Amino acid sequence: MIKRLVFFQKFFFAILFCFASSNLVRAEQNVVTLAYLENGLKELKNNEKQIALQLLANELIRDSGVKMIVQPVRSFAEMRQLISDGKVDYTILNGYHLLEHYDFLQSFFVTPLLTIQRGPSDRENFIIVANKQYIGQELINLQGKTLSLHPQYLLMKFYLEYLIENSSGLDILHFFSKIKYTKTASQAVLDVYFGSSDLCIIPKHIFDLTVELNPAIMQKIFIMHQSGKQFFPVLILNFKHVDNTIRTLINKNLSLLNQTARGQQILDMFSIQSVHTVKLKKLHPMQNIFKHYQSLLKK
Amino acid sequence: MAVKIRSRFFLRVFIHFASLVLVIMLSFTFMMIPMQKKALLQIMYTQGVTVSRSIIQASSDAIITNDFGFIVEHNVEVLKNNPSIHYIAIAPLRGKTIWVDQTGWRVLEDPISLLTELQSEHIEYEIEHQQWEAEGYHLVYPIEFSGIKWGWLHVDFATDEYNAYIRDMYLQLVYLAGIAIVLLMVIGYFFARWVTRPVSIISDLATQVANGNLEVQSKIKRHDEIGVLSNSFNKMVQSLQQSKQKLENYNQQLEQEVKKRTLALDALNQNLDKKVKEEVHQRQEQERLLIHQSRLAAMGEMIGAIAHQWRQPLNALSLVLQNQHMNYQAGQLNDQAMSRSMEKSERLINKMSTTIDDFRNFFKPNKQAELFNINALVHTTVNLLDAQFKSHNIEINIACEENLNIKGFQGEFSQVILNLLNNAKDILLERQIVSPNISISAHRIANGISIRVSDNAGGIPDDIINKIYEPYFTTKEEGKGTGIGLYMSKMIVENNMMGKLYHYNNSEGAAFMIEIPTQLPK
Repeated sequence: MIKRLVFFQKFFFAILFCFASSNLVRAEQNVVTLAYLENGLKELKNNEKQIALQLLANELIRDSGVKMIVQPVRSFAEMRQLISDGKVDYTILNGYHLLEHYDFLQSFFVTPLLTIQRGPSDRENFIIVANKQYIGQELINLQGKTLSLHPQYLLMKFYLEYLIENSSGLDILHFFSKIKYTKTASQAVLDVYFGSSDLCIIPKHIFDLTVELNPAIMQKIFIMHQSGKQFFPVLILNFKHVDNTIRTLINKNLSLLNQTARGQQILDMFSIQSVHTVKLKKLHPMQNIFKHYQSLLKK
Repeated sequence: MAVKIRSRFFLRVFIHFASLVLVIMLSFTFMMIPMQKKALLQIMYTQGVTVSRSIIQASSDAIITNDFGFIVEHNVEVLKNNPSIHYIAIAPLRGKTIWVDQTGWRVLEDPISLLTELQSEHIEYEIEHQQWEAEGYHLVYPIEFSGIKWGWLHVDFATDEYNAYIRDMYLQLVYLAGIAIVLLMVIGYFFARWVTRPVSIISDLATQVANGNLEVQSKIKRHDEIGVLSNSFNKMVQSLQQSKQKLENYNQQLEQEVKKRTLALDALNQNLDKKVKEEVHQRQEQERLLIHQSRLAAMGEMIGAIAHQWRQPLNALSLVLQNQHMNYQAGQLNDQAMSRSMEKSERLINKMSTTIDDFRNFFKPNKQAELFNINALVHTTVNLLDAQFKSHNIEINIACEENLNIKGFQGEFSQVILNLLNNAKDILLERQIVSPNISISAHRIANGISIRVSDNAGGIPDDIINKIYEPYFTTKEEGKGTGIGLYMSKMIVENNMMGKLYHYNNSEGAAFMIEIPTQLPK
């Protein structure tokens, strides 16, 4: 009698194991990985990034049976490896990184890409703001002056470097007598206002916000140059090996995030207004600038 | 059993208990509120100092290098992350003040008095209403680096949380007070009930006992003074019951006794009537007898007095007859001698006849009260006994006012005077008094007349002085006195003439006083 009971107990656990294993296999088949660079997402503190992205991930795959894992990556080299290995399904990249590694990435990602919108447009317009004493002058005339720069804004920094290189043939370190690195982009404008610096580069929408806080600053500063709305600051790539159904679901959820209160709350954590799809051809303006910059450097 | 709410004792205990607890609660509340406010202010102060220090620490490099861009940016960020801060102002010692609030920031061209007033070497604060629509807790923190003053940091915190806390505190106090009052009512009710119920029960029981119900018992069993009171009450009621039973038994016995005595008294009463009537009849008979005896005695006295009065005239008449016989024998009896003898004899016989008339009139009872003169009566009475007085050399002194007239029974009153004179005469003779003397005086007193008959016989002995008016009491030998003279005299004076007859001893003898009203009452 006891032996029979032991047998039935083992049989029962074996069935249970098989069931669980099959579920596990099934679960592994529905797992999506979202990778991000640890030194990105400057809007958030380091200890908040993982949580915020996981919240985003959960919202994206809600009620789908899909599990999305958020994976931080220390460097683009590591990211590159993961992409090559097919271990990354989605990635959030700085626009500059896309430009820099476009040739590599284009063989892995599928279109449409996704981009975020922070200001009035999904593309950013970088402006150069200078002290009013320099009205009527060009950027080239400000050689040897002091620049305030928010260095973590890679795409903006790249654009400034492009402008300086294009106009003077110098890099920014040699063009300006002093570069004051600021913790925020808006602080760069304040430096110009308070006279700590002579000029700065800043996204237009941030400049507008700064002026809104104190319109009186326009008495001492002016916009010297505007890039125009051609820069995508952040892009979300999804890769070819991702199941179409899942891709469609996730892309759709990303696009509809700002339609729900909870989705908007999550976007607010990243200071994002909305997420859009973007066609490749819209990247061409900034790609062209990058290519031009590359050619200038080769000279 | 609920305690009657109208019980004054219950209300008193309840009100006192409730008042005490309310006073304590209110005192605690009034003490606690300022303490809480002070604690809150301290919390706000600490919070303000902490925020100020963190701002200064984060901005220290920028402050030292006058990097206002960083300062503004940092403070804008601080305000963005702290909606409860109304504004931050950075006021350097030299330079313009930068003002950052929730709408933006600006450089103040002129200093604001709100800011400069509080700037000092120490951390200052105040709760102000001027600058902001809402109340604000304004903290001024002096900025120093290595002892070098740089300026001040002004931070204005919204006091919404503080006010909300105070409001909550007041609300909680109100709720607590409400709950406390409800609890107070309930606990107070039960407490007052616990205290007063036994007393009320015992009071009710006592009232029932007072109304006559001794069957009540207190069922309160406690181990305190109330329990002692309850036990004592039960013992008292038991004792009362026993006493009542005893009383009832005594009462029954008494009733039986009373019945017996009543029956006896009834019988006695019935006999008494008969006895009283018999006694009254007997007394009346005795009185009639006394009066008869008195009259007989008086008659005896009268006869004696007449005999006495007649002795001298009879002797004188005998002498006249002897003279006449001698004159006849001597042959000297002529007409002249015969006339003289006849005249003398007639005078003597008239005197004897007058004596009888006097005595007859004297002892004739009066049928109705008549007005008579005391002086005349006294003289007439004395005349009746004049011969006796003279024969025994008893001096009679009469001093009566002339116009003393009274209305009464003259004959009976004469008897009284005669009796007093006879008694005086008898005692004077008995004691063989040398120079015996009897004095009679009468004078007017208020509403009447006073008559005094006194002698010098030495007075009435003390052992008999209170008995002399008793009937049949006499000090004379048997056969010599009846003992009813003074009794009758008293009866006549006090009953018939509404006067008083009393006596006393003086230095010489006895004195008898008669006081008679002038007119008998109608």
